[in-house]
Amino acid sequence: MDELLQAIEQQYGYPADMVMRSAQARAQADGVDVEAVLRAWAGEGPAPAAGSAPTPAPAAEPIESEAPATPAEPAGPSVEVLEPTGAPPQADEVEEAPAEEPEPVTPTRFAVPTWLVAVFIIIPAIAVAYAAFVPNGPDCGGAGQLAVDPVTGEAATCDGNPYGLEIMNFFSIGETVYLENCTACHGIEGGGGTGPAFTGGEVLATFPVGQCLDHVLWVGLGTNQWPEPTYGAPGKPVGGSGAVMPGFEGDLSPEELAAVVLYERVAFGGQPVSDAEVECGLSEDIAAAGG
Amino acid sequence: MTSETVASEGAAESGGDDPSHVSPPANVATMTFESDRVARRHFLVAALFLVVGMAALLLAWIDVTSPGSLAAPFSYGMLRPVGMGLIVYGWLTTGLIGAAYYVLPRLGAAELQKTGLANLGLLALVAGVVAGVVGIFAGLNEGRLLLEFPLWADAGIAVGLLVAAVVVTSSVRASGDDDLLPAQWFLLAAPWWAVIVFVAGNIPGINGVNSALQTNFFLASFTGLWLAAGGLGVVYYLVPAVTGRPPRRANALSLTVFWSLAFAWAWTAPRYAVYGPIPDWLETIGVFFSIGLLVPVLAVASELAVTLRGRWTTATESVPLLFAIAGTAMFGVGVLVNLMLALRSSSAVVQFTAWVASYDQLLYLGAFTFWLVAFGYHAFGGGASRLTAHLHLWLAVLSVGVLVAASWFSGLQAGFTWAAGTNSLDYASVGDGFRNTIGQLAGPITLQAAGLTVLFLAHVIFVLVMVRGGGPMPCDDPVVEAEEPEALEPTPVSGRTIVRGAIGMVALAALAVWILPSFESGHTEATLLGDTVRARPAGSAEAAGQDIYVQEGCWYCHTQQVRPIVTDVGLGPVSQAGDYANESPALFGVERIGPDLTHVGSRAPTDSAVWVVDHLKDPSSIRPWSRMPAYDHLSAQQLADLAAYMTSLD
Repeated sequence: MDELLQAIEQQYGYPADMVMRSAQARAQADGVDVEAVLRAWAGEGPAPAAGSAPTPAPAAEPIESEAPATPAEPAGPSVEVLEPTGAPPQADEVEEAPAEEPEPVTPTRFAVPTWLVAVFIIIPAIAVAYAAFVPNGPDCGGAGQLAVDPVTGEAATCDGNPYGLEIMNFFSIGETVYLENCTACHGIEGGGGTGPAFTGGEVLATFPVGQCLDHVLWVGLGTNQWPEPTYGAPGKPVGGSGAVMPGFEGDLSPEELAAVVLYERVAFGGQPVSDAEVECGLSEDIAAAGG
Repeated sequence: MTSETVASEGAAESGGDDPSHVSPPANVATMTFESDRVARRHFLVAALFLVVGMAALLLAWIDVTSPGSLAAPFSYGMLRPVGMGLIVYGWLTTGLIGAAYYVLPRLGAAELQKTGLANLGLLALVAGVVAGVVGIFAGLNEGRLLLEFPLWADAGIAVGLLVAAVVVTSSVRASGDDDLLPAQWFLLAAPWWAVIVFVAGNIPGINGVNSALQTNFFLASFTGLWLAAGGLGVVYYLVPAVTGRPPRRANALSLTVFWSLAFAWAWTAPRYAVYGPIPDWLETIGVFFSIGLLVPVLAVASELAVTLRGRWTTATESVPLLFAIAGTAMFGVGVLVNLMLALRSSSAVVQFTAWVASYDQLLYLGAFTFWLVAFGYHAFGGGASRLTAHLHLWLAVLSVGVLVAASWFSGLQAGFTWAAGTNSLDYASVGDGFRNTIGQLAGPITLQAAGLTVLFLAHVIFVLVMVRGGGPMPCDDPVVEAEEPEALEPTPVSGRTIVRGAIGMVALAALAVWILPSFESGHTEATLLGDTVRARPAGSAEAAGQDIYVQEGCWYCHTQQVRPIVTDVGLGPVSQAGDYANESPALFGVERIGPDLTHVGSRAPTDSAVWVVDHLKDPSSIRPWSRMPAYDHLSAQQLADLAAYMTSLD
């Protein structure tokens, strides 16, 4: 049917959708097949209701008189009568017609050009292909590093850990964590209270230089989870002070644990920040990056 | 309708021109509606908002073009939200409601219902917009794009939208809502979408990345489901009416347009945060639906082409049609820009550049405005001389073209410069490397100021025409061509289907791109950074400084978001969702007219409060190439707070 429409379109210069609508109206009025009307207009078949022919659909006649459809004119010479014209003309109500003859109308309702239908299928297909084949996130590379800064040589990470670069002030982070979590037992100045004091060399006496990671572990686990009966270099008994040291492993991130330990060792033990950072594992990325 | 009528119309279409077969809704000029006064009242108010909004946007851009040329409280950061608020809520929203009140009675051949309520709705809307503008100037900016108005101003707008939805629904029902035309689908569904999305977008008290998910959902849905869908409803009415054809009827194409638009647009929300600290799968959803958005756009273009087939002569003569066609073209290009901002490969270059602005220019100043202007000329432009209307048209097309072209040029320039590693060249001092981009953009920035000036003047012409009035614009080709309506739809589309389907679709989208992702554990569990430097206890200097940062609109030009892509290497550690967990709202930023500030307090000299205060007071004395306005009108206390906030950004 599409070829027919195109042929008529080329022949008369009428848009295909308008021809189609005219054909439908004509078919409805004459009680014939839409395709037959189109074939007639395209000059390929007999005219369904030419004025000169003995027409079996007289009901359509008076309507034709006013404005004959242009595409019908070339079909004039053909006087043969169509097969379906034997059928009685449809009842007056349009609403009834589609109910009785659904087939001819159905394919033309969806007046979407074929190429457009194809495009509408291709676009979601592209979208699906994108979702399926394009990687979800950035390419982080094997080491979890995206790129290395050309000037500073420092790494930009995309593995979820923002602390690969030494631009965080771990001392001040540790101070914040300490003030929020530790002062109730150890005092704002580290002078002790319910828990032991850090000042007066106490903190480095318990966890001497080189044992920062033990210190971090102790703060993370607390008295209840500490696996051994004693802790620290002097072998202090766990729970010996009579107080329970809570484990902060769940509440603080690994970096926060390390930072608060760094703060205690620097602020109360007098250890240099850079030493403590190396010791507590807060600067290994700098070392790895050659910084 | 009898078979005779059908046949004769079919015949007339093929050659006859007897107007006696014209069905009444097509012959617009012969109908009069009392409710037109309500529609005109809405549209006049909207048109006034248009010029004020354009003036604000023009002034805002002048502040970027030559920083320091405006008096104290007027800066880009203040005028931009005011201008966009006036355009989006004052002009586009009010205007669309007015257009719906004009169009729906004609499509349904019944008077508008509840006109008293409609007038009250207009009052609420105007009060909301005016209060919002006052609120922004009073320093109550809420820090979220297009949601800047304080809550009590939002309440007025929400009431106005709700009234519109109620009035539209009862008007459609009054004319029988069993078998609706495409224009009615859009104009019935859009106000409901607008109410739901606007109220949902304004729910307060959401923190961190989840607040950004909320904002993005609002941005996508309000743009697509209210402004675009409502505008398309007007276009669906306008184009057949001007060309003298009966309204478009339901067919496969219009069904495709409506449901694909309804389904896809809200789901594109995550594209606003591509490479941002949201889940990767969510970004992929955003990209997926940004591709899918091409379906409704192509379908709209085809519908338009089908309607205009054989009538191009009318089209080139008719001002409303030319505006509608130009607007639809901008709509298509805008959706392509949306796609460029969504696809990961192109987003890595154009995200945060002026391409973001070009999206706004193409849709808010372009497509939606042009559609409404087309409607304005059609309905109330009878007093316009041919010359005036054409002058407005060509000035508007030219200036939007200039704006967009300049945005694209400077956006690509900036994006490629960043991608080449310019940020890292001055790694030690945040912002210094920015000279490499901003210095090259003087030409496009000035050009945009010129474009905005012309656009403003052009719209002044339009508003004068609207105020003067004069009834509908006569068609240049008044012959109404009788024609069999589009092929019957398989099943009639009822109002109930439309409203239920519309609400269901937007709820589904909200669930997928906002509600479900907000349960990601990383969004609420703060990282170390989020728990320390980005958690600001109430009453601290840092918290006060952040409030000033939001109020002064610093976040329109500065992002606080480092993406895991080469473009952002050198800006510091990549942003994680938990970094923002204690912030409300998360200040992701919009565009980088100035440098990213995520880690501004971590390096010299920007980690010094003294330097920051000096720079705030007179940026150009420290960095002569800077486009930042001076903040010397802030009090010493405010400057100190702001500096405390900036230097705390480790």
